[in-house]
Amino acid sequence: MATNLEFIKSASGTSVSTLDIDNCFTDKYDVYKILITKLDFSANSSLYIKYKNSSGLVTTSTYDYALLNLKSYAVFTEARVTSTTFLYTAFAYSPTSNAIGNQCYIFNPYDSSSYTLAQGQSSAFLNGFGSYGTKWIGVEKTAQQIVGIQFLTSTGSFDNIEISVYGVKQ
Amino acid sequence: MSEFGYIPEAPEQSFGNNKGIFTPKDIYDLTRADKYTNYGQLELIETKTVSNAVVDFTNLGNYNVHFVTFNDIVLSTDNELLGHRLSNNGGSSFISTGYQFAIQYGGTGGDFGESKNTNYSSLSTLAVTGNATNETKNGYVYYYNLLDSSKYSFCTLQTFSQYTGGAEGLFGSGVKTTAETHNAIRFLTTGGNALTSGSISLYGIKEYS
Repeated sequence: MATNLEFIKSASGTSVSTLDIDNCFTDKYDVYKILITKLDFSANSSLYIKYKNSSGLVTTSTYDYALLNLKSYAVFTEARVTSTTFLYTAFAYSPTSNAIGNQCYIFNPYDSSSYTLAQGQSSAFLNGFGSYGTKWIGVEKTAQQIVGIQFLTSTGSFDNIEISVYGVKQ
Repeated sequence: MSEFGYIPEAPEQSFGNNKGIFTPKDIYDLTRADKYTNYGQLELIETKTVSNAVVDFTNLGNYNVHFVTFNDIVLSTDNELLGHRLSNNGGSSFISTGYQFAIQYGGTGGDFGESKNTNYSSLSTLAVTGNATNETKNGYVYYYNLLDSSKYSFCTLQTFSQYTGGAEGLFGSGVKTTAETHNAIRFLTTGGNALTSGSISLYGIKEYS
């Protein structure tokens, strides 16, 4: 019985600095939903995304992103970055009780004739500060076939990370 | 005979890799064991139509991530906001303090801005004011870690409302900074008056280990 949100695969790790999900993007779907169901950092850190093609990680400076950080304790802040090597999706403080909530959509990753677009939203808490949400968009500006994704930290490692990938049935 | 009743010995069963002919009991047993390929991981827990001043969900199932949609919610009183609170005692009472949120809003009337609070009575605001005809509230919320006693509870949301000033959308996030189990959700107005009509659906996001 298929419905509109179809589980593809999940991955998890403990005390790792990266988590790869290989071959999760195929010609079966155009739109993918990624849910980060558990995420604890070992240090104050940002959560980044890199894509993978059939040759491995896409490490070229072909990623652009823009985001709005929504803070309960201060004026909101924007960031815009072009021609970098990753997409920024969230920031969180390290204590494990804080964790984070995060989900995003990936559009057209497997289509070799289009860029890979993404948008997402996260909710976190910074000790000593307060609620810290992020709403972001991003693009990888190469018309290429993306087959997988890597999650990585800017600092330290993931104490725990669990991610599920779903296809959005059309 | 295998664990799931095959004669002779059956192949190993797993999500995405089922083999054989299944009886209803096989499917039931495999599903309970998370070994039956049954797509549809957005699992409806309950839909409630507004019939009281508040809407409570006291059965959250067993999920790390919950998803809520609310449709055509109408409030009884103008100048109030739609909000949501959590419970740590199964819905006997709902926590009314200590939430933090940050929201970005934007409306066709030209009002764009920030809304934030570090000690609020609701996990976040969910929709703007208005109770006139057609001034309904619609949107969705993701909840994270509600049932994890070692984590704070988080939400992200995006909503859309009609009000006197026009149409207004908002998105943002909220957190309850207490590491404890939150096992019920209440939807209410932040001013203490009633919801009048509409419906709210609660889903769990199925995971596989």
